[in-house]
Amino acid sequence: MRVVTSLSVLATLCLLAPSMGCSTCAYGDFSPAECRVAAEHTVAQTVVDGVTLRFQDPAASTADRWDALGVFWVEDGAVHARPSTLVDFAISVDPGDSGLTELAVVLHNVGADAALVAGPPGAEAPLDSVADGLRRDVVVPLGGAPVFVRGSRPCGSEFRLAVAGDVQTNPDQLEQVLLEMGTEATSAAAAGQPLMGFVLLGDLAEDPVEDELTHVLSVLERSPVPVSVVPGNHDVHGDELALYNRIFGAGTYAQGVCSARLALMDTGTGDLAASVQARIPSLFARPDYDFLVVGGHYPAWPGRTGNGWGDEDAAWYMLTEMVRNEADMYISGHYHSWEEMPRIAVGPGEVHQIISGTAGGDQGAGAPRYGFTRLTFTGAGMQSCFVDVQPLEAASGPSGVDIIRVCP
Amino acid sequence: MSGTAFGAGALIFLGLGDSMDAGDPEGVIVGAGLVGLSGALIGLIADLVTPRPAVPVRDRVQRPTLRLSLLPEGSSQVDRYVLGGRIDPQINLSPHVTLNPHFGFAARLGADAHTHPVPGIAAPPLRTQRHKVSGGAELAFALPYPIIKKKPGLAGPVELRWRPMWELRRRTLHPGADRQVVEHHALYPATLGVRWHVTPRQRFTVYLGPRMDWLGYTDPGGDLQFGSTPLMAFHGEAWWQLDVPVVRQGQGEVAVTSRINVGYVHSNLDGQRFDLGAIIGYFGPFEISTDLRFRKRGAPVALQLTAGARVGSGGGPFVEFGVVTPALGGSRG
Repeated sequence: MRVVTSLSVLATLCLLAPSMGCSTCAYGDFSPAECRVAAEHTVAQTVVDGVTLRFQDPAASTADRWDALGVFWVEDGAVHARPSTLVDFAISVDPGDSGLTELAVVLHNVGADAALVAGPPGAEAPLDSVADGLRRDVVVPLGGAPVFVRGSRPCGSEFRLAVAGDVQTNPDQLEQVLLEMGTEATSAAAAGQPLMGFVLLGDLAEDPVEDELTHVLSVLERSPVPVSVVPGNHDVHGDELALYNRIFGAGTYAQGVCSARLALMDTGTGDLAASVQARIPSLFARPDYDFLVVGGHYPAWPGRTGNGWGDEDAAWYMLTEMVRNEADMYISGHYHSWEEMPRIAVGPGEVHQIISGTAGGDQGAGAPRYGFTRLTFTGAGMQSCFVDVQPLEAASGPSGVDIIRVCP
Repeated sequence: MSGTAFGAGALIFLGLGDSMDAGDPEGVIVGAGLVGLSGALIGLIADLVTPRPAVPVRDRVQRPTLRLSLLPEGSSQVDRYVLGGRIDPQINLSPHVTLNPHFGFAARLGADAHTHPVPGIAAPPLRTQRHKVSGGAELAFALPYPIIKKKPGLAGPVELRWRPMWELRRRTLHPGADRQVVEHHALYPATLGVRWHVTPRQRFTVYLGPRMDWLGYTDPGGDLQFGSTPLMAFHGEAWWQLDVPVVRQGQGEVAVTSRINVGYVHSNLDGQRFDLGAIIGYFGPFEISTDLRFRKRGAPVALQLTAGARVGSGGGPFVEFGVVTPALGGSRG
């Protein structure tokens, strides 16, 4: 009897165990990082009335491939496109056999100072648009061959980025952060260091449900500057509809922001997809850039925060590639506070990490420290500090800010 | 005790939150508490069905001297298993002190070549290989009864344990034409443990200690580069074990004893973790397993079979086949 019992335990373990392991995209679970790679590519192209639209690398000149650099959707009969990038974007529009001579497109997340052009590769002409904040309504003229719609913004030698993560249950505080960012944009422009964008490092919502994520998107549409986003664990766990990617677009992507290379990583499940690990050398390559900043939701090294990766081996590889490519900083959210780790030892080198999970998420029993990290890029290098944005109900400044380098 | 640990960890985790710099230990406190609670529940049931008087199982299952393992590899990989081997002889230094030297290795069965999930995307395949080597020892010191109060049938002996360990994980990647290596050394210099023999057939063991990490890498085709400054992390484990006699000595030609194990390992080094909703990356994997030891009457060597599962993302079933040789240095008191 006991032999039967013991063997039954063994058999039960063997039967149960596979269901405890990884699932696959085929079952509609986008918790696995590799499934989100598939999803971000799915939403970066669409076919409307026989016309194929694809997000492209800004340097691309052919429409036969595409890159996960944005998201398309159709609403009220109009094509909407939201580039995930801050400065430059490109969309190929292939009319195919549609016979259409023009296509109306609503562009989102486009800087107010962006210049738009459209036309065959190498022969693009200025494109008129109707602007409303970060939204542009354009009509793209079509011919027989694919045309490209491109956006670009002017860059100076000095500029700023704002970075924060973790909104979760407190999008009201995110609105306060964005209001302060408007002030920051004005003062930055006056200082000759235009604010080029806001990098929001995940945990946009408490749970990956459509109402929460679309509400955050509507808040971000009132941002004074374009926004690049990555997913956090709260945005993707148990998601069966790839909602993050369908609403915000890319999760892993690299972009040029003036003289900086900004590589953003989908670390939403505390790991990196194998295909993303394969791309790290190209994502971090910086031949034409003075700076390399890498961002993701999870800290590359959690230190004493305890907010670690589910797969530490993937983090080790990312850290070594940052050192090999002389990254200036890794910046993250996840930990609901502001913390700096200036010297994470990796081989003979070091990684400078800032955790800025300060966009609104509950910070527990301590005094809240909301705001964003300001990164300033100049010929003298990159500087960082914290812009404090107090909650409306705060009667006085928070305690504990002495450990934070608050911007003067 | 387990409930207190679970409650304390959960309180830190949920109540105080991030701005209090709660830190890593909360994960292991919660995990160990869960193991203790699970073990206590199973143990209570086991105790109710155990014939009286409950006496220790003879030839109870312990670590085999030699074993081969087939283990799941972790969440970044797809359906890959590693083959591992371990040597853990037991040396009885005195009736109250034992020493278990350890050497282990593990290597993937074949190289992994992972391609991009979307056809038509120009992305390089990732080819990787992994190897792991470990070494160390475990020193166990049974507290004598003058120190602890003897309570037959209730609290049994308590052992203090020191388990210094070193692990090397080498990952060889071929993201392009050249070979790159990422090498990680983990040193556990002061992993201290307490084993409580809860009843004659049940034990609860907790290990805690610092983990020192050194990370090295190569440039494509280049030499390995290391620094001298370690990163510091935290390591913890909790194990609950129940002995079950299956075929007693004297009942047949082959005596069979069994052991049920429930454990928690606070580590994500092998890509295995236990996620709970949005709580991702806080907890290491849980493990449930059972061992069967077969010993022919009078034989000095026994065979031991283990099957179980690492529960969590990147986990899966595993099997081990072991050989048990007599302890060196005489029998234990």
